[in-house]
Amino acid sequence: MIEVKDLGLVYKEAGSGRPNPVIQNLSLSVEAGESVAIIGPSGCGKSSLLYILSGLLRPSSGNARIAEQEVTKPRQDVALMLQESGLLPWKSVWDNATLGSRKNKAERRERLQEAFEELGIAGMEARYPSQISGGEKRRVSLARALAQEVKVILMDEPLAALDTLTKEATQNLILTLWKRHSFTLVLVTHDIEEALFLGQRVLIFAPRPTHVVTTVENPKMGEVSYRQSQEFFDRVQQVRGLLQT
Amino acid sequence: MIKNLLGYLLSVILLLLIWQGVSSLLVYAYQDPQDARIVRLVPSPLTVLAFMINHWEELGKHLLGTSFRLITSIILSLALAIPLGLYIGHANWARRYLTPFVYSIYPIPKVVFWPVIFLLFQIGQATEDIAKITFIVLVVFFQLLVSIRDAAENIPKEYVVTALAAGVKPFRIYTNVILPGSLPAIFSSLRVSLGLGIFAVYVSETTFAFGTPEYGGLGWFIFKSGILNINGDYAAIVAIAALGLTLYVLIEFLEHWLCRWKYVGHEIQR
Ligand SMILES: Nc1ncnc2c1ncn2[C@@H]1O[C@H](COP(=O)(O)OP(=O)(O)OP(=O)(O)O)[C@@H](O)[C@H]1O
Ligand SMILES: [Mg+2]
Repeated sequence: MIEVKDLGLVYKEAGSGRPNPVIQNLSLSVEAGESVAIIGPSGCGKSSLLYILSGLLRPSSGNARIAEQEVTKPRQDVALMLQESGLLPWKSVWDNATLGSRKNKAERRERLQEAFEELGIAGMEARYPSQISGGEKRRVSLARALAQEVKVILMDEPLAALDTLTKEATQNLILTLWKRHSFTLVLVTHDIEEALFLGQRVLIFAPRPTHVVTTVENPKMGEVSYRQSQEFFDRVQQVRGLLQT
Repeated sequence: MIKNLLGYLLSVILLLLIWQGVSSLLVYAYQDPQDARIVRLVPSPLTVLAFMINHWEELGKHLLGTSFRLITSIILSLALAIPLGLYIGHANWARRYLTPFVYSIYPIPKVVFWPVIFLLFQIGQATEDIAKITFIVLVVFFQLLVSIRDAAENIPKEYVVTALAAGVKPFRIYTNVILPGSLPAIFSSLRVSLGLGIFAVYVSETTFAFGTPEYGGLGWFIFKSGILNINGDYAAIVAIAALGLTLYVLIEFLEHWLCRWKYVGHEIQR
C-alpha cells in the first residue's frame, strides 16, 4: 500500500540557508491493511515523513507511493490525524467532519451519520470543538476518516495529550476500528506501549538524518489480554533498549 | 449581549452624571460674575441638550456628513486590508518580501499628508469628499493591514495542515482557515481603527475649499463654532460620541454573531 524508496528530505536552515538533511535514504513499505507504529527520537523526521505521505511536503529525493501512485498532493483516500488542533475551532463538529470531502452531499451525510453512531458521538454534530472533550475530538477525526472510507490513516501522536484512561479507551477504539474496517494504519508515537499495542510492526527510527530502520515484529498485537502478558512487557523493554542505543 | 447593552447604558448615564457634576462644581466655585466665561466652558448636559434640540436639523446634516465619510472609509479600508493582510500573512513569498514593506510604511504618520491630499483633490466640490475619504482610508488602512497580517501569520500551522490534508484546495484555505481564524483579531483591530477613523474624519473636516458646506460634518461644525459657541462644540462632541458608540455596539454585535464559536462553552470564572 505504501512504498517509500530512497526518500530524502533536506530543509534549508532559516538563518544561514545551509542545508539541513532530515531524512536520508529512507526506504520502507507497508502492506495494505497492515498496522505499523513508528517510534524514534524527537526531531528525527517522523512528522516530516507523514507530511510527505500526506502530499503536503515534496521530498528532496526519492519518492513515496501510495496505492501504486507517487504522492504529489493530498489524496481523498488518505487521512492525517494530528496531536492537537486536528479540528478547526470555528467550524461545528459536523462541518469539521466533512471538511474537504469531495463525496456528494447525500452520500457524505449517510456515511458520516453511520460513523458518528459507530463512534458514539451522534448528537454532537452542532457543537463546536470547544464544547466536546479531548476523547470526543479524536472520535470526530476518526469519524471523518471512516466517512471518507479512506484506505490509509496516518496518525501523528494523536493521543499524546490525553489522560491515561481516555488514552487507553481511544487506543482500544482505534484497534477495534482497524480490525473492522481494515484500513492501513501508520502511527507515529512516543509511547512505547502504544506502539506495541497498535503496531503489528514497530519501526524504530535512528536519530536525524533518519535512515536505518530497526524493525520489531509484534505478531501478537490485537490478541485479547496481550497487553497484560509478560511477553508484552518483554517487548517494551526490548524497544526501550533499542531506542537508547 | 443584552447584559453588554445594559453596561453601555449605565456607562453613558455615569458619564452624564460626571459631566453634570463638573459643571455644577464650576458654577459653585466661580460665583463672581467676572468669572462667568470660565463657568461657560463646561455647560450642563441639559443646556447642551437644549442646544441640540434647537439646532437638530443643522446638526443632523453634519452628523450625516460625518457618518457617511467615516463608514465609507472604514468599509473601504476593510475591503482592501482584509484580502491583502490575509494574503501577506499567509502566502510564503509575500510574508517574506512584503512584510518589511508593510512594516516600514506603518510608522509614517499619515496625518501629515492631509494638506497634500487636500490640495491634490482641490478640483471641485465633488472631489472634496473623495479627498477626505482617501485621507481617512490612508490613516485607517495601515493599522488594519498590520494587525490582519499578523493575525494571519499567527494562525497555528496545524489548522492549515489539517485542512490541506483533508483535501481543502489551497485557495480555499483562505475562507476555511485563514479568514475565520483571523476574525477575532480583525474585530479588535477594527475597534482601534474606529477611534483612529474618528480622529481622521475630524482632521479632514476642518478644511473645506468651497464655501460653508451644509454637510460639512461635525468636525467642521466644531471648527467653525470654535470658542464663540461652546454649547455648539459640546453638542457636536456628543453627536460624535454617540456615532462612535453606535458603531462600537454594532461591531460588537457583528463579532458575537460571526465569531460565535468563541463565545460558546464554559463561561469560566476569572
Ligand atoms: N520548516 C522547517 N525548516 C527547517 N527545519 C525544519 C522545518 N520543519 C522541521 N524542521 C526540522 O526537521 C527535523 C524533523 O522535524 P519533525 O517535525 O519531522 O520531527 P519529529 O520526528 O516529528 O519530532 P517530534 O517527535 O518532536 O515530533 C527537526 O530537526 C526540525 O527542527
Ligand atoms: Mg512530530
